[in-house]
Amino acid sequence: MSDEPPLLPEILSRLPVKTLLRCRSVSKDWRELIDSPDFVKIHLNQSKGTYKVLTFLRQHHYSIISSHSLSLNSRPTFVKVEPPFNLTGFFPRDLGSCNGLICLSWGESNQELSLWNPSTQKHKFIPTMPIHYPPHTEDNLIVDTLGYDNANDDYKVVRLLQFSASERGSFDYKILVYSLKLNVWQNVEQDFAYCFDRVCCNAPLSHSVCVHGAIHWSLIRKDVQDSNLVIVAFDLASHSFRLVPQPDYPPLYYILIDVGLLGGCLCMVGIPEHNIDYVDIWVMEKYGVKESWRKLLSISDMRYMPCVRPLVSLNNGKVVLLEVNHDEFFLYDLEKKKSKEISIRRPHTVFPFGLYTYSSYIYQESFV
Amino acid sequence: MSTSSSSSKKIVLKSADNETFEIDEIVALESQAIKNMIEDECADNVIPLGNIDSKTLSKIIEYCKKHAESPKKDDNADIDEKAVEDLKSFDAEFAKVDMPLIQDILMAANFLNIDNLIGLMCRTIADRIKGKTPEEIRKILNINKNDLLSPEQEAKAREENSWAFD
Repeated sequence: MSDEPPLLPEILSRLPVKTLLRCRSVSKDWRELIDSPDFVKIHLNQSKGTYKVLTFLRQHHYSIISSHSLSLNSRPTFVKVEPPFNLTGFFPRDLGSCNGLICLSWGESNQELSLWNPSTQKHKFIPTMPIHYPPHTEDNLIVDTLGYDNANDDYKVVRLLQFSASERGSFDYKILVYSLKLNVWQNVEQDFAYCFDRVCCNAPLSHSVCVHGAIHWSLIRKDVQDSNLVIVAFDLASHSFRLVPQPDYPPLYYILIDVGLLGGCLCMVGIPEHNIDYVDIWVMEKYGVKESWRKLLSISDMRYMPCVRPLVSLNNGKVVLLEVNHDEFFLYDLEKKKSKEISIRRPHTVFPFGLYTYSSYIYQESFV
Repeated sequence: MSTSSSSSKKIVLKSADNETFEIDEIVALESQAIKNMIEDECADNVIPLGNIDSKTLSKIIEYCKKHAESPKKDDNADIDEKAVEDLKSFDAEFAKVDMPLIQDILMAANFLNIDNLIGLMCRTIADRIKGKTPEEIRKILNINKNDLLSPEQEAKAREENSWAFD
């Protein structure tokens, strides 16, 4: 008869990863339990809903300078954290996170990827997939996003390659999916009727997120001029595309929309065409249900064409942390409709003219 | 047929050491296991709980009474924040007992299927071992020493995740 406490998995699943790593040394039984795939899932389930924020500071065109994690005490602050491995050469582009894993790119061309679990501090490099653009194409764009395929219990990275085709103004696509389980990249042969809306710059002005076993982008139909922006989902299990219903608003009301994640729900950030220093954030409370879209907040007097990203909700959903224009963080109080900046102390640097940008990841603690 | 209509109905529980406890049915309904017995109409007489001693059982009844009296969250969308706070501080007080009793309560709550109490006890144990060293955890939970890792395994574990042992 073992004198272990009853319901051990239930107890241990409530512990932070750091204590769990120590618990692996308590006994052989404990180690076996903690290392089992079932326990990883129980633990993940238990930590659902508690999100952490990790943000990387970098100078434009340089790799990561420092990393900070949000400390959720009574007064949320960013605390500098020691990077767990040498981050030189790593570039934080927001490539998404899920189940406690975040995806970073590294290497000269920015096309090489690494999966990293900030809680266990383990990481894995993803095999490189050489990119071959067809000849005579330009304006090339790569968007990588990490997601979790619930149906196959697999982590996947979806790579969307957009390049301008021979005819002026039209785009062609290549879609590749990396499966962590199989450790291979696969081509997805699918007609893709959409493209990124780009406003004279090199990158799409939107993010991509994984919700509900699908990667989401905000795109426009490539064959229709001046069409509405749509939210397109790529199902990670079936490798097929579908459109996600949007909130009710007049056609072409938003000049720009972006997708995001807040408390596990898909959200939409919209900038109205008539008022481009204004931003609305919508949350889809029940995935796939058009009627469940709720306007969370509207902020006016922002900078011209602001890039606002909701990160986490705090204080029982009364406050939302926003990342604004990649260089500022605000706590927005939904009741008082007021925002307050929280600042991060930047390092004294040798590049005084450098442009700083932050890339933030939202993640849960996990053992994955 | 639901039998929960009469709130004055009494249920009698009997502990392993043959002590009997008469409680209101509404209190007993906090236990999913007893609720099932009542619905199946097998709770007319005394319910014997051969694996729960009277000390543990009286603690459990204390917990169920408090929780049965408190307004349920789903009854009312406008949750009474004071009642929630009150219940929280009750739970915190309730959990201030020694480790063997916590484990007995957890085992009994699991048998009686009282979800909230299982969660509370698991959280309490987790809170007590959070941030502790493996040695301290063994001591807190009184874990026997037959099942230890070999010194090599132990050293490897520390090396792999040295940051977690700082």
